Amino acid sequence: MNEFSRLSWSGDQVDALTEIMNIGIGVAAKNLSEMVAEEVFLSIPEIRLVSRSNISEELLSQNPEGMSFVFQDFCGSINGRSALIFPIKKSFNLVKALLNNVVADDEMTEMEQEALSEVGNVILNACIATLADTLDLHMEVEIPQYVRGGAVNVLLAGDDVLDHSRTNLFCAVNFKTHQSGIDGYVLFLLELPSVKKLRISLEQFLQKIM
Amino acid sequence: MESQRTVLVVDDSKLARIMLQKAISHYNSNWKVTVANNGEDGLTVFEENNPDIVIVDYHMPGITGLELAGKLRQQNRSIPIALCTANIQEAIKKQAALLDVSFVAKPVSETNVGHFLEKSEIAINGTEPHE
Amino acid sequence: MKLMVQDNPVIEDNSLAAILLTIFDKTEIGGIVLNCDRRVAIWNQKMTSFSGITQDEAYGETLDTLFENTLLIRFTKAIDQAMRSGMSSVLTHKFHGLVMPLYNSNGGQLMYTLYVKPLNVVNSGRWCLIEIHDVTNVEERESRLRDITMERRESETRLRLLTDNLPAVIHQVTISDDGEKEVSFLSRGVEQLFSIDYEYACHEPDFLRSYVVAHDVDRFDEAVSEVLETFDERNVVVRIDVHNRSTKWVQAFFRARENHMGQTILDGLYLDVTAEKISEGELRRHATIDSLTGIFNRRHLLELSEREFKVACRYASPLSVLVIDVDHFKQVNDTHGHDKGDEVLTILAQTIQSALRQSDVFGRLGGEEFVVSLPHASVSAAYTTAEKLRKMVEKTIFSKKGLSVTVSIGVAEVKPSDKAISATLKRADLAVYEAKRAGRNCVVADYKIT
Repeated sequence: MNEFSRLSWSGDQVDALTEIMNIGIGVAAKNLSEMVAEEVFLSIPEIRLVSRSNISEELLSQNPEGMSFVFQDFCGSINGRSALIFPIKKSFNLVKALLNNVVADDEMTEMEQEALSEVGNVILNACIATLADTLDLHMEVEIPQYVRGGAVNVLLAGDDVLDHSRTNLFCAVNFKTHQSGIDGYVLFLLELPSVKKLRISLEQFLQKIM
Repeated sequence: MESQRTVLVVDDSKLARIMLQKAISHYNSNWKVTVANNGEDGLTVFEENNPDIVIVDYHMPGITGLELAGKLRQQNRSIPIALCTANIQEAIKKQAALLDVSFVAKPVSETNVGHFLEKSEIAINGTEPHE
Repeated sequence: MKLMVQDNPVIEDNSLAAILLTIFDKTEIGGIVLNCDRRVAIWNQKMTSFSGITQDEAYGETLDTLFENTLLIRFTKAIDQAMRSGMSSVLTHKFHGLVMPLYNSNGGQLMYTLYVKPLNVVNSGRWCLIEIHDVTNVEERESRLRDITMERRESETRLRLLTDNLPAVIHQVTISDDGEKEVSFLSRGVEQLFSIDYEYACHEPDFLRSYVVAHDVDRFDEAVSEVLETFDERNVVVRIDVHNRSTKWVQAFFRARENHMGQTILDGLYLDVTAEKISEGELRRHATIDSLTGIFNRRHLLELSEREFKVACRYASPLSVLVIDVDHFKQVNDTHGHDKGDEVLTILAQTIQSALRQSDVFGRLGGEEFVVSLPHASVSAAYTTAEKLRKMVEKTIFSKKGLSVTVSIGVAEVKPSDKAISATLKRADLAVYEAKRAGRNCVVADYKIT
């Protein structure tokens, strides 16, 4: 909260953003649970302002053996990147759950790229759409890119050269299932200029409803 | 004269509480809305205020909305309760059905809140003599 | 300039738009553009080819109408999301089966990946672009590759099973142009044969050479280099030191060839022939030893005696022979049985052997006849020895029943006129005859020196 107040965010604005992200990811989780036919458990969204190097460290410590990710960049009213991240060993579980054991094991590794791209697409679209619809943002979202065992740099770089001191808005939600062993998280990254625009949009939204 | 009813809203998000309040006012401007921002407080407020209808958020710190609904059910078998969440999964639907708890999907709108409130009124009025 | 797209005039000026539209129409990707009312604004040639629906038929219609409500819900939702919120979506056939009923040029079902993308059109809100990428060929290729990989894996497994259970070791080393060696195959038998860790051996292309005993290394190297030069087959038998605990004999077969990448492939097959070597040794022993008595057999006896003869001649040193014949042996066999007879011979041989010197050659000539060659002994010395032996035999108890056995011995010294030891033996033989005539159990020497 302190970090936000440094950027002149009010408590209401932070709360509003949290709730909107909650809803977006709730929809995403619902979609995912339909796809894997199992209950998906979500954590409460963590919204923070951190530097890229901090995000980098956290991601690496949580995924020591490497991670797979699907990311979708968006631009328009706000610019940023949304990503679905899995520890590399867990990505297979999601594919397996998605294909409901209809496909042979060795075929599944081939399908990993397509399966995760599509799932990523569904989940990330749900999140972004909620944000865009609620705040009446105009954005275009690109098709998902899948990277297996990608370096953190690839995930965080976006179009810009990696600047470790740069601060980002970082929103992360962990989701998991119990039976099929799915365990991953959704990550949103926004650069500071977009963080400002987001705040303005939130304020406009709050004004409207209050 | 229209009866004044009280709706209890339990949600940890201020935004959500505001949205629900707005939707309820839109449905019937006479109705009163009491709020709590977590399950424990919700229980307390419920016992103090005796609302007619309850809307709870699913995902909260402490006890979940479903757990809260369960406790409320123990105290009142017929009061209309709705779970307000974007995350309406099969497993949750089943549990809610067992508790006779409805759903209001997030993001809330005047339409879907109104729909629930209307249903609730019919249920309540059904136990009262016609006017 | 009038731009015609499929014979329909579309744009009547030579703007960039016209050119781009042509490109879009001719691209290999199926392309649809829906306007903000979700009606077809552009339908390219590939879409016609995939769906059988012409541009004319498609213009202005919704996809639902064109495909009679067979569209996947996720697809229509994706279009909504694109139009409303600017979301892009991807749908793969592998997941959904048919998103839209489309066919490839062979008439078979099209396998494709479908992309839905928002298009911001100035003053007209959002339109939507749908791209259809035909992945049928990719699918088929992938499927074939999968089959090949499976086959190869099965084949490899079979090979492994076979080779791992062989008592021989199969070893293949690939040598690149720069001399880099790599183990391209190694069967598990290597662990047993060399008492070496399999993983270690896989990384040491020259491990076999390091085990070869110093004495045989040159022969080994020679065989290998010859194989590598000539690409002929060679085999070499070498001893290996198994961790200084024991020595084994290994027969290594080598063969070399060049592969399609210009690398040299050296194939090796290694057999543990230690057992064979031992039996060989034994065979050799058998070839020289009389199986009953354990002393030299006839052949070896004569061989050695001939050798002594040659030595004696060269150095002009004396050499005498004794021919020892068991008395009444036939009687022994008849009275006491052949087994007893064998036993008698055995005991006799041992008794005599024990009394002889290292340098003396003692063997069984055949039946009940024995020969002793005594180097450096003159006839008189030989006579003394013979007499000693005769007494020994006389005293020896050959059975509990007190069976007594005696021998008749003939002695002869090598004469200058003897061409071979056989001549000397002949004279000793005659002396035995004399001894028998004299009543047996005695020694007769041939003193005639001519």
